This record gives sequence, structure tokens and C-alpha cells, in this order.
Amino acid sequence: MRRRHGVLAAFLLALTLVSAGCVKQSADKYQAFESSKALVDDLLIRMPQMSVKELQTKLENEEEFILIDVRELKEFNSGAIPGALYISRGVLEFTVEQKFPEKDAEMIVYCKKGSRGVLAVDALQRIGYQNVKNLEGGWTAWKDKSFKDAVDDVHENSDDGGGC
Amino acid sequence: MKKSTIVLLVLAVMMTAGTAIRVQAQETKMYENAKVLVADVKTRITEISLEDLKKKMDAQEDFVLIDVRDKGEFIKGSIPSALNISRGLLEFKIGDKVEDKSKEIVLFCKSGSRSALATAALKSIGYTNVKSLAGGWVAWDKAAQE
Repeated sequence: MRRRHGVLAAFLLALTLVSAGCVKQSADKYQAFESSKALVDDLLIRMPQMSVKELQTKLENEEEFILIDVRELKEFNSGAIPGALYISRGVLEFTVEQKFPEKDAEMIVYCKKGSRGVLAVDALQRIGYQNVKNLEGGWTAWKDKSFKDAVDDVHENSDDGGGC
Repeated sequence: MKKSTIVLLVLAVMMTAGTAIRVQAQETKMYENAKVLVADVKTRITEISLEDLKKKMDAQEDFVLIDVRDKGEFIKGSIPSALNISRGLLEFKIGDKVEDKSKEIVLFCKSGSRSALATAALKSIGYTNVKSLAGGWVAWDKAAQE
């Protein structure tokens, strides 16, 4: 019996050390990533995302949600997703709070390719917005899919022998 | 099993669970609003006063001054010699402008909130010598007009 206690005590000690190690490692990790890519990759693990297809369906169904373009003004002005609101990532937390005080409002955020969007979703989550998703692939993915859909439409129409 | 053995086991399980919760809490620290977030971040970063920034500039010290406001704000007026990298792009563009992660960097925005968050963001990707200008462009502009 005494021996078993010894083993358990050693187990407990080891567990404590490992636990302490985990906490420390996590704290360090939170402090510094090697690069912005590493930071984004880490956030991506637990990031709620939405595909372009899902967003298209939501838009087609005229669902109620807030679509936010977090790119720079110049990027927004040269083309954006219909219905999107421009709030640059630079002022995101402050502007969103002013415009949309309801913390459970559904929001979809996008940037050019998805990295800034990931950081933007994280920033909004930190101040309590729980229903925020990042558009996977951002504006680039949207544009590519829209173009592809348009081409498919033309092909479908030509099968009917129609056209203009 | 003996009672003491069970107690020890329960204790072990509780400690593991406790650790897991602590790790989780650390990764998703939540705030009531942006103001509270900024206030907390400001306790973890270094701010530089307008007076100290001016001293550095007068002494022609070697550091990088970055205006993290949006371009539309920057072109209306900024601190002389400041680069413009908006907060929206900062983590992604900083590497092109400042390769040395130990280089001294001073960030500013309109009043000091965005630059505080931007300072924390640069720290999180390994920049070790970053400061945020207290009061930002507003403080600078006010002092310049006096």
C-alpha cells in the first residue's frame, strides 16, 4: 500500500510539473509568434469560417446579417462584395461597437485573401461579439467564384441555344 | 482502493482540469468593450510621452516612427518623418520596412488607442522594442499649434 502511494505521489508530482509547463508554454506562445503567418495559422485552428458558397446562399436568401470589408478604402473602392460595409481593420473595434452595439449580431468579415479577416474576427470576439465569421479566401475567392459562376451560366445558356 | 488513494486520484484529475481551463482562459481573454480592452493592453505595453518623442527626434536618434492611421487620415497631416502603415496591414507590411525585430519603433494614431493595440500586435509577432505615443496625433498637433 505504501508503495502504491509513493507511485501516486510521483505521478501527481509529474502531472503538476507537466501542467505548469503547459501553462508557461501557452503564455509564451501567446506573447510572441515567429511571424504574422504563424499568428494567423494559430488563430485559424479555432476560427469560425464561412465559404463563399455559403455566403452566396445567404445573400440570395436575403438573410439578415452584417457583411464587413476590413480592407483599406482604396481596395474597397476598386471592388467589393455587394452589400458590404467598409470598416477598415484599423478602426474596426471602435467603429463596430458604435454602429452595432448588439453583441449577438451576425457578422461576416472579409479582407483580400483571409489573413486580415482572421485577425479581425479575433479582435471582435475579444470584445464580446460571438457570432462573427471570417470569409474563407476573402475577396479573391469571392471574385474567382463569381467569375466561374458567370462562365458556367454562359455555358448553360449556350446549351439551350439561347444567348444575346 | 483505499480512501486516501481515491482522494489523491480525484485531486490529480481536478488539477489537470484546472490547468486545461487556465490555458483556455489565457487564449481567449474577453473584454466588455473596446475601451476596457485598450485600458488592459495599455498596462502591458510601453507608452512614450510627446515630450520624450520630441527629444528623440531632436537628438536624431535612430528609430522608426510609424503612423498607423488610415491613409486618408495620414495625408491630411502627420508627424514629420513618419511612415504610414495602417493598422489594418501592419503585421503583414512591417517586415518589409523593419527587418530587425529589436529595432526601436514608435507607433502613433489619432489619440493613442489604435496604436496601443498595434503595439501589442507587433509584440505578439516578436518585435521587442515598440512604443505607443500617448495622446497620438491630436497631442502632437495641439502642441504644434501652441
